[in-house]
Amino acid sequence: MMQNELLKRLIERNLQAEDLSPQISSFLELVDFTLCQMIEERRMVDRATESMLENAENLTIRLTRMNESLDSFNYHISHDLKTGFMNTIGLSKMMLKYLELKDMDKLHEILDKQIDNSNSALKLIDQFLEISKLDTEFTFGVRERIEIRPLLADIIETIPNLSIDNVAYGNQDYTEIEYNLNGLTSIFRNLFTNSSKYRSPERELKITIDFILEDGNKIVIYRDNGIGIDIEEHKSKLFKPFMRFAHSTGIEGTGIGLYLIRKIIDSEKGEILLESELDKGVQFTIKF
Amino acid sequence: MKLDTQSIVLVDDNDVTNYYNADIVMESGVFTKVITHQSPIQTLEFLKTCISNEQDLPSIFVIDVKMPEMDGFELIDEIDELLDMAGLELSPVFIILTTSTHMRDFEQFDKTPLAKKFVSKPLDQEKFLEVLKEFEFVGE
Repeated sequence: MMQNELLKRLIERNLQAEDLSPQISSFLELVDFTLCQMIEERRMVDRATESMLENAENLTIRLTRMNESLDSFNYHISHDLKTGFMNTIGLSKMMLKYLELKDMDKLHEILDKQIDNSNSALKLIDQFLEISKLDTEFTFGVRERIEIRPLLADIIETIPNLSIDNVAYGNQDYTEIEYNLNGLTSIFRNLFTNSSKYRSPERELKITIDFILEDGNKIVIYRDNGIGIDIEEHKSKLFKPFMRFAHSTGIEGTGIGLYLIRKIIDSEKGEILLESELDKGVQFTIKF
Repeated sequence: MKLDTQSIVLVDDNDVTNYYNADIVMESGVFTKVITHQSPIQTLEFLKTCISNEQDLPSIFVIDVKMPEMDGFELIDEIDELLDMAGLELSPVFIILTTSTHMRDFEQFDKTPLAKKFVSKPLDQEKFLEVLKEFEFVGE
């Protein structure tokens, strides 16, 4: 009797279990699915963390670079500005000496030097201001439709020792451009200034400008026949601020021009390429 | 060939600085040959010419730190190399003139044992006299 009872119960349980088994297996499926999902989520979290870390790392690198360039900026600015004042002190002491000697000719000469010195310092400050002006202007910059040739003619007039006769226009696939006016002005003013300063003493300065449309992109090719730059030797410093190159001795300058051009073009998502051969000239290809 | 104790070279890319520095150096009355160069390249060319003509070399170089082609420390190394290559065992005095008190300049100074002294700009009679005494161009 007892055995029968037991057997009966066992069979009942088995039957119950059989009834339960689909539920269990669907429960197991659910567990499996949830686990998979959890693993997938975990993977996503990992991936997100990874990319966050990567971002943070990139950001740190960028910030470090910016700090370095700010540090270098400070170093150069303080050096260049101090030079002007130190020269003023040096020249003034010299004037005191020649005043005592009542050497009027010498005094005259020193005063002329002092005027040159102050003018250079002023020019320097203007250029530094131009950099910070660009920073703010390009954050809130507006683009406008600009007719290029008349703008270039205006700029050329303001460049020392440069006239419209030095400039020739080649291809003219387009005559207008949508750009930031101050930016475009600054780009060409710096290009013209460099060409004018680094001209070859052996030939008349010739600048050629081509306006080319390529796959809907507006491209300017700017060429001169000046003294050129040794690209290989100066590769790493070309577009960096305050860098000046051999052969620039005796030519006034601060090493800001190319840096400014690059900064403007970068902030407008364009591209610039510089090619050059010593004593042949330079060629800039600018994609606006 | 030897060092000419009456000859000095001033190197600074700023011509105004060279102008009054030369006046200060002349006034000391120690040097009869005051040579100014506006670029390190000029200095190296000058020395090459001196060596090939077997002329005596300047005994002291006053050099600006920051110049376009190469900095003052690089110039000192180049001059040293030039003397070495010519087989000359001469040791002129190298003075570095500096505008800033930036770390960058000091680090380089420590790495260039040939740079004997750091003088802050602007140079004047007093500072220059001190240098001359230190390196025994004049008595105490």
